[in-house]
Order: sequence, then structure tokens, then C-alpha cells
Amino acid sequence: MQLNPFQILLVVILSGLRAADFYSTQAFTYQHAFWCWLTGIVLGDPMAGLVVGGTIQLMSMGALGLGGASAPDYGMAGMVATVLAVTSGNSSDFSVGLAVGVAVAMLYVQLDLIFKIYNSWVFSVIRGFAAKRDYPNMLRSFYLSHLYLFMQGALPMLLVLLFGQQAVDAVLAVMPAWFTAGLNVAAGILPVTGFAMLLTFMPFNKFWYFAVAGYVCAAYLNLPVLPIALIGMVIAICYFKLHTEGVAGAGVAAAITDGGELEDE
Amino acid sequence: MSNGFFKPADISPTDFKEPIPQPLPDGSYAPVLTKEDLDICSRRMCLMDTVSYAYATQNAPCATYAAFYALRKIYGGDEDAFNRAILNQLDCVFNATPPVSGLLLGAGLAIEDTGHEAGQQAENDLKIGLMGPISGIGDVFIWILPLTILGSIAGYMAMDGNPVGILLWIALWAVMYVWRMQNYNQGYNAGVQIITTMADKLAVLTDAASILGLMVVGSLIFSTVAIHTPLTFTFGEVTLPIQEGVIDLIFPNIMGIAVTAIVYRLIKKGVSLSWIILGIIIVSCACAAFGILG
Repeated sequence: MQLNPFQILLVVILSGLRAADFYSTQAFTYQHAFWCWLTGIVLGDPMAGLVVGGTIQLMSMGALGLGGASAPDYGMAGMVATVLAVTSGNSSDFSVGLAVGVAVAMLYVQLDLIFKIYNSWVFSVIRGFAAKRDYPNMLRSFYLSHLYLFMQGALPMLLVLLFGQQAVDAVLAVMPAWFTAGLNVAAGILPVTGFAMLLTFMPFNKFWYFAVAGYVCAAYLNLPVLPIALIGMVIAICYFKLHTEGVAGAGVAAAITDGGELEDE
Repeated sequence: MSNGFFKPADISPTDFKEPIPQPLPDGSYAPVLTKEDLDICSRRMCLMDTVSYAYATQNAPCATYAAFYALRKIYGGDEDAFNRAILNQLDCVFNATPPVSGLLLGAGLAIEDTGHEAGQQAENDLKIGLMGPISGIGDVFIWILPLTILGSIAGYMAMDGNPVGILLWIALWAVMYVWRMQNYNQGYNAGVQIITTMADKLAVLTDAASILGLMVVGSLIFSTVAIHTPLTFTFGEVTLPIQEGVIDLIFPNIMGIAVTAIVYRLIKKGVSLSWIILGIIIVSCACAAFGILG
């Protein structure tokens, strides 16, 4: 599919805004599916944006840059994958776009490092103006970081839009069938990395049986994710009440449950 | 932007024409910050968050940018004291989950509002001492849980071509955003003690919320990880597909669970995510080539 200049401009701006928002305003941080959806809408294929975005969202689950750590940039990965899925004209098979996107995300771990080193220079500029008591310029220099982030998102996206499809086509032409088949299989398995990473952040060893309960609800009862979240909410509220209303409350609740079981027998 | 949303209309960053604040008999100062001043701090923090993150001072510049006009008001016409206060903010290492850091920075400003320069050491100690605990809570409630629950609902629905989950996330995030646009006030009013004791009460809430998160993750590992084997058993005349005929009848998608368990162990052992992803792609290609997976 051929893109018109207006679409290219919009996607480049969108990519820059996403990168800037990720660190500065944090209004849509980690909402990769949202950004991919927007990209899809601009490119005239919202469905491709949703499907690619959803996949990336689930893959990225545990990839959080907490406490100043650098994490793979799945937002960029998602937007690149969306662009490639739409321009290839075959948005149902996006495994190649996804692979390119994941490679981009890995590359961005290094760019994140460079950004934080660049910020050391920004800090020296800010502090320099502060020491000279030039406050208007000091306040302006903060936006050097925003500018850099915008460029970090926008410029690579421009390259992808202009040359990405040719590059992917060239790779596809020489790629053996087993590799494309393998990428399709990998696309199904890769969400695992997100879930596994996420479990390391959560008290999994303490509460692993609730994960089993969630599995049972989905696998055997065929419930969609929203009702499962609501059941989880009910259990969470009960847990919270039992632990905040003291030991006496917990004892009474246990006695009531025991009594109920006896009557049933 | 002189409309009073990001900066007060009546304070200029250049001319210091206000009177120099005078201490009360006990050495402290009469507090001057109003709700509106603190709201401006919260909104200015929304522009910055963690954008100035550098390894040496981390988010200290963001905190300075947010507090600029509050400090300007505290020190009035005393330009020298104001300059020392700005440099103190810039040099005091600070890093907390941005949407909740206003609680801590607001409490810090409360100290500086009454103590002026004499309060700066206590303010710095408060910020450095509590930025870890408040981030521990903030990371769970701002990033990990919303990403688990809202992110997985949004991602799962989006894979089916349904944007409702994304819209739900945006709507709930907007509620959080409205809250954080005033959270310097909460920190300022709560003061130091409440911020410190809050951590204990929130531990139970964190556990409860983790239960909800784990149920969602448990269900999503089943419904989003797709591993399929085309292998079949053949007993003479009878052909039995392993996936549909055996595995799915006993433990649906048990292979997805098994792979998750393996990757979880690898991450716990410190294997980097990049190697794991590369490994998955290599194993997938090998299994696809030999017809084990597909």
C-alpha cells in the first residue's frame, strides 16, 4: 500500500509524541495498543493497528523501566510493526513486521542509555543558567530533553516509512520458508516473555494458587477476561477486609463458613 | 502560558520586587503557599515527570521545575535565598514514581514553607529517605497493576479487533491523571508522619490487588499464548491428533503454561530478556522446520 505524504507526516509526529509522552507527560505510557490503534487509523487500517497493538501489549507486559532501568521500547516496536503490516498489504500476517519491531525495541535499549547520558549535559546547562540566575533560560532548557525524545521517536519512524517496506521485501525475498513458519510460531509464544516477567514483579510464590484459579476460569469455564477480573476483584476485596478488620473479624468469618459446610452435610 | 494553569499570573521569574520575608519570633516563617500554588506544582510535574532523568541527579531537575514558582513565592524578594533554594533542589538526588512523587515533594515543600533555608536539610532528608518506599508503592499501583489488569484486558480485546479495552484504560487513566494534578496538596497537608505510616496500611492493599492481577494473568496465559502441535499418534488404523485429542481434553494449553514456567525460571536466574526472546525465535524455527510446532 502506498502512503500519501500527509499520512507519513502524521505518523512521524505521532511517533515523536509517543516517545516524548513516555518520559514527560506520561498520559499514555505503556499503552502500546492505543498508539498502534492510532497509527492504524491514520494509515486507514484500524484493524491492523488493533491486532498488532494487542499482540505487542501482551508481549510487553513485564517490560517496565522502573527506577531508571532501561527496558525494550515496545511502543516503538508496535508502531513499526503496524506500519509494516499495513504497507505490506497483508495485514493478517504480520509476523515479519513483528520480528522487525521486536528488533527495533531491543535496539532502543541502547538509545535509552544515550538519552540518559544526553540528559547529564542538559542538567549541566540547566544548572549553569541557575547559577547565573538566568531563570527564563533555565526554565527553557528543560525542554531540550523533550526535543531529544521527540526526535528519537520521529526520525527512525521516518526512515521506516520511507525505506522499511523495501528492506522487509528484500529480506523476505531471500528468507527460507522454515524461517517465516518459525516466526509465525514465535509470534504465538512471545507473549510468554511478558507474563513471565510480570510474575517476577508479583508475589507469585505467595499467591500462585490465584493464577491457577484464573486459568481454570478461562480454560474450563470459558469466561472472557473482564468477568475474570471482576471475580478477582471480589476475592481481593474479601482478602482486604479480612486483613484490615482484625483477627476477630477473620475468626467470625471462618466460623460462619465452617457452620455453613456442616449444615450442608 | 500565563493563564495561571502552569504558572501563577502575578509572579515573574525575573524581577524580585516582593518584600523580603521576615521570620516570626521563634525563627520559623508564616506559610505562604495556597492550594492554587500547589496545584500549579502538580501540573508542572505532569509536564516533566521523569524527562530529565540522568544518572547523577536522576529526577531532581523535574522536581525543581515543578517547585519553581512555589519557591519563588516562599522566598519573595530575597533573590539570594531563592537562588540557593533552586540550587539545593537541583542538587538533591531524587527519583520516585512520577505520578505519586507529588505526595512526597508536597510534604517537602511544607517543611520549606515554614522553615525556609533552615528547613532545607530536613526536606532533603525526607525526600531521599522516603523516595524508595513511596516508589515501591507507586510502581505497584501506577505501573504494574494497571498494566497487568487494564493492559491485558486492552491487549486481549484489541487482538480480537475490539478497542473497548483501550478506551476503558484511557478512561481510568484519566481519573488517575485528575487526581495527580492536585497531589502536591495532599502531600503538603498530610505532612511527614502520614506519608511515613501510609506504607504499612498499603501493604495489605498491595497484596489484595496482586490477587486480582494474578487471576487475570493466569487466565491470559491460557487465552493468549498460542502453541499448537500438528503431531499425531497412530495406532494401526486409528489416528489421534495429540493437541486436540489428548492435551486439550486434560489440560487446555498446558504447553503455554509450561513455556511460561520455563521463561519465569530463566528470568529468576538472571538470564536477560533479549537472550530469551532470541532463544524462543530459534527454537520456534527449529520446531517449525521439523513439523513439531505449527
